[in-house]
Amino acid sequence: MMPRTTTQSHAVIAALLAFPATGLAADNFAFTVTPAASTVSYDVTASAPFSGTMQGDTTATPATRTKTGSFSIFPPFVNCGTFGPTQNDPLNISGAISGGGSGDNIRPTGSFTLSIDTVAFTATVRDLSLNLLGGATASVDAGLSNFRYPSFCAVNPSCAVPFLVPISLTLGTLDITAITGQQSGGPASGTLTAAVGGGFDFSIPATIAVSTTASFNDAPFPIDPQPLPIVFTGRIVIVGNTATATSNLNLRGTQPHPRAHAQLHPFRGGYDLVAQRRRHAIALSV
Amino acid sequence: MATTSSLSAAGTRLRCPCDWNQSGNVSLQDIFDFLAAYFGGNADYNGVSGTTVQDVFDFLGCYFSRPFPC
Repeated sequence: MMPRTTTQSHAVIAALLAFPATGLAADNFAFTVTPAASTVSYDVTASAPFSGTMQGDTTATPATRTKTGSFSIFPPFVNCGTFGPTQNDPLNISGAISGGGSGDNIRPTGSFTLSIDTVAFTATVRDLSLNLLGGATASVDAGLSNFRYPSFCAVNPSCAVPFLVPISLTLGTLDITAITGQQSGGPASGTLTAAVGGGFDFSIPATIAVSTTASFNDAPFPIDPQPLPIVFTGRIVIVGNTATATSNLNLRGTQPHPRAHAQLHPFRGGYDLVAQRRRHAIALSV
Repeated sequence: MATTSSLSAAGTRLRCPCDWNQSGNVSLQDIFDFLAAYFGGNADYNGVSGTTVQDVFDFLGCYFSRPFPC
């Protein structure tokens, strides 16, 4: 190993001296949301167009079978033609999958880093990450609305069903297992003001990507993340090396959209399509 | 979709890891103090395998790059 020369040593010392001493411009705090002291309420409506097929469920007892009929102006308004002994035709359907509901007293989890500069009166938030449901599940009623189907005929029960107007079908619940918000676009800065009674109020415009995880009929119901502009406002109170932060955060986004071509499990059940208290065993694939 | 959140969070102050003497600023004195700790065998800067020469490299890396929250 070569001995370090005096010139090299001087160069190292010069580099160290040349590097400026810096005061820590901001007070930086890492925060963890306290679930027991935090609450979230939600109001969710979701709707997405779909197309698919409806077919008699031959696994049911009794087994319903279907075939396309043709509309007639004379009663019973549907010409069924001959029904083959095993004929069971899929019928093209369309409409919207929709759900809605609300809840409250959910305990959120999350974390963020807040930096405050009490000289420049600025505040910066980094790595804001929230799980607004905190592990809880939000269940909302869901079904098919504006449900359109062709005039059709069925056996078990025997029925000729003309398409008259779009109808609605309740299929079950949309289970939302997570609504997460992740800050995007790097650190965001805003204003800091001294608060009456101690502490500082902060107001920081930021953008978060909201991701919703849901399942419908036990199948994943993929929903695209949604970037949402927010204003992260609240108060920070510092005591020694610890701090508390309180914030009211309201998210108001457009309705979540399922990803294109989302494939859901087939729905099987008895549906009263014609309000005649005659339930058809139907498999819906959407 | 709309959510209304009332959040309460507990925080701890982050310190700059190369503010070795915790004076509130990063200066040449931190290097002197770090080296004194190093030669005293008490400068496990990176928390890995006790005090090694890697701690010196990591400390100087922080000193020159000043990562957040420095």
